[in-house]
Amino acid sequence: MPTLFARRYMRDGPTATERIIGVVCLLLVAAITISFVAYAVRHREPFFSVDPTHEPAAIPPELKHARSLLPESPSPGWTRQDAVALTPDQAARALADDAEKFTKAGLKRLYEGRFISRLDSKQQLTVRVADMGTPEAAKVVFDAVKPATAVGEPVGVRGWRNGDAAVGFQSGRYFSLITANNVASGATLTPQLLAREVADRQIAYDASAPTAAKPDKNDKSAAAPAAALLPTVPGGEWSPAQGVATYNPGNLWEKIDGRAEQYLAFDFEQLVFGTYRLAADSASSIDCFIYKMRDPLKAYGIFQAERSGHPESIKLGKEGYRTKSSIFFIKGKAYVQLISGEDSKATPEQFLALANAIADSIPDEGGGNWAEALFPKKDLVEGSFSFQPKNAFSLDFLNDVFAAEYEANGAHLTLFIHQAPDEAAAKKTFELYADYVPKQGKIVERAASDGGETLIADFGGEYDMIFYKGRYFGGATSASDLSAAKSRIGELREALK
Amino acid sequence: MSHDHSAEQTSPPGVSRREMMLRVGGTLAAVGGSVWAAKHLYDPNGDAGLPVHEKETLKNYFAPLFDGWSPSDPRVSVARGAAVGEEIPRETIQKMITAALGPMGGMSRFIAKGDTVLVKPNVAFDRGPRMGATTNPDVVAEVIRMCFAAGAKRVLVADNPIEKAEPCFAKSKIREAAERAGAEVFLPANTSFAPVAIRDRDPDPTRNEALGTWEVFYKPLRLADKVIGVPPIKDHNLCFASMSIKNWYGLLCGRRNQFHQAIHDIVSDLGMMMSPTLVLVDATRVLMKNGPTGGKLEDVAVGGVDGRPCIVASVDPLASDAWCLQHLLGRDPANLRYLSLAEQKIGQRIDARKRAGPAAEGRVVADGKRFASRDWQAYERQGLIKEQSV
Repeated sequence: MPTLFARRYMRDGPTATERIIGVVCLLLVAAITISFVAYAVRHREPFFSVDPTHEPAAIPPELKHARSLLPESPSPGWTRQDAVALTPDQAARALADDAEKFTKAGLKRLYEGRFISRLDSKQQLTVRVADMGTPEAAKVVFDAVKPATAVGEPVGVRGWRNGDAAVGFQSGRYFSLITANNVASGATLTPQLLAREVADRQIAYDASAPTAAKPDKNDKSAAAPAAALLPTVPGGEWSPAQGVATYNPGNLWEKIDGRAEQYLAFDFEQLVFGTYRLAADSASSIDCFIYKMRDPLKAYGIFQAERSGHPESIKLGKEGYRTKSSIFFIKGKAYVQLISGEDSKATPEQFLALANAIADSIPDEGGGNWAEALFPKKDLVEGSFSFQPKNAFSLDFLNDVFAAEYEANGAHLTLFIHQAPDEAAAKKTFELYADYVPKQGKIVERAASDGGETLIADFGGEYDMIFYKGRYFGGATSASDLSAAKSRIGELREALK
Repeated sequence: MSHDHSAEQTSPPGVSRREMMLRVGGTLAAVGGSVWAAKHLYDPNGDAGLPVHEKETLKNYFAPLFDGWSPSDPRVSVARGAAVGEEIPRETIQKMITAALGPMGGMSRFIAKGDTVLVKPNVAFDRGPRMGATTNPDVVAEVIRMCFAAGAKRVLVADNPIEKAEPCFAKSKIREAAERAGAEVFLPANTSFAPVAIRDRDPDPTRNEALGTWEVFYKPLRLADKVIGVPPIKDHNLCFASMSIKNWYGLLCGRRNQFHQAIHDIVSDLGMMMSPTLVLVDATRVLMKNGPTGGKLEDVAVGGVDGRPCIVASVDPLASDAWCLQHLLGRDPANLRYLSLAEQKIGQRIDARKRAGPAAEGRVVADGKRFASRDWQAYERQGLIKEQSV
């Protein structure tokens, strides 16, 4: 056989022996080739195939998808048990009481994974990602399973957090729920951190673009589509809004870092931001922030929480006020801030015209502050009227509470009122309160009263007097003088008539 | 090809010894060369064998001054201007900064000839300066001028706002003020970021730690010989108050909102991470409510609860923050968790450095040469806090 080093040796041709060896080799190659071809023609099967009994099972695509949705190693001290993909029927068992809410909304598939602490296997986090098919359906489930005590959480398109126990969020067509079981405080992986890891694997988009305020048809300055989210001011004094941007609960921090959490506590849903400039002087600018909350009551809550001092009230929207350089108002679900630029030369009339145009573009949905008129005015501590959206007086069952403080003759108390969806809910809140009292004090009196029930609790010299009447739950808390509390509650109950 | 008939006639049939040796020698040389090349070209780590860039660490910018700082030199120096309404004249600002630095030896004690100085204001939001959400641009400009007057070759002004940097620097008027004073405004860009080892291991959340290695707006810090923090004083919805330590939050990159759940852990880590040359607190306009964004002039008070514009110079950011919280925001420092955590963390580092000795120089723990006490009352008793009016 020729080799690299044999060329000179081969110059006179191979010897007879070598020729014989060469022919044998060629015949051998020909025989092998013919055998393969003949076998292939006869059997039409692959030459080399794995015994099916030894072949690894193919991974179903839905399981591959489940694995892709759930982070494998979100924290060094935690491991993921294998992910599963469940059909709606299988999911019903996993979701237990909430199953109906998911199936009604059109659950397509449920992906589930469990994360276990390496230090203590009892510490577990469960992730359920529900593929709802559409963002609309995902939003329905998001609202349906949100606990009453939940607060906003900046994750996904919209998120909520229920204490340290659970985080739920919607992102595109997925609704994800992360729940904690026996997770120690200070654990390296929490529902919030895991929710962010899960959210990073999803595309954040919402059901639809926000409702655009209709621009003035006569306005021929073709504004960018994004600017259509903010109205054009009639009259031509103001140019269409520029730099328009929207923010959702997941990215509100990018606009108001450090302050986003306060808005989330009031069920923030969307911010539309833009800058208006005077057509005649572009240096005169007004920044417009329209915060859309879940309902008018929450819009009132954040509006009230940010009000300070004694600003000048103005007739704008449902309620509004003006400061030296800004205008604030609420209407429907929207809380609007208009903040003037430092170099703005806009007159108060021009500023108000802009504010009115924005107010006109927002639908009035009623609701809001229904309680202030009910509170007695005498001895009311100025500026103490407030709205508490969650965990009022540190009671996790008490939300959406209006409260005000009273002081007279050295005695003080806080009067409050909450409107439940119906009488049964008001009664349930009353019972929860009655269950809570023995943990901190004692019930000294409990009796039926006009259309409901009343109880008096003693917390070591400070009294609470609580009642429910129809769908209202209210009372006086931290009262240093019980007779003063009785008197105030009498006035409040009278007002409820 | 030529044919040598004489050689053919004299050579024995088959392979000659000479030819055999050549063939064997050639084969051995080829095999040996291949083995030699394979041995030298073989990379047992593949991509993992590529050169690894060392993580950056931050300098202790106060260390060069530490040894010369005598026990009687003030740690905090306060200068108040007269209450003259909402507008604070530039001359007043100039006088306040000069007066605040006076007991400490003036700006020339901190800035040497030829230094590159990083001035770090708070430019977190696209708000006008009167809203108190950002550092007063006149204060920034005056600090820059004094740095140049002390011999600085180059002054950089940098911050990394969450919002787009350009509008923040424009609306806060800090860009205009800085450039007019001769400084270079350093806007954040990906090429300026680098992972920085804040601690030489992963953070342990159970010990209130938030940062291990994190991407930081590093380039201006690398270029700088000296760093001066110029924070405003603000109410802060999440962490109670934003002052000099919180100001370093603007050096972090990436998804820093993830730290909001552990805000005191991250802010105290920042206090540990940064040891600036000097802090000059801008208390000309103090945002008393609805911080850190603000939005109402009514929430802003000149000089805070004191009512007089004020500049606080300090070589101990913890003491400065505690003093400012008490005297400008009218709040009790004992309630500010990140201050106590920062004091604890810095204390642990100083102890670690003492244990490690000179071998620790250049490593993450090598920042023992700094002051870190939130007990401003103790400083006051020792006469280490100077106050004056201009």
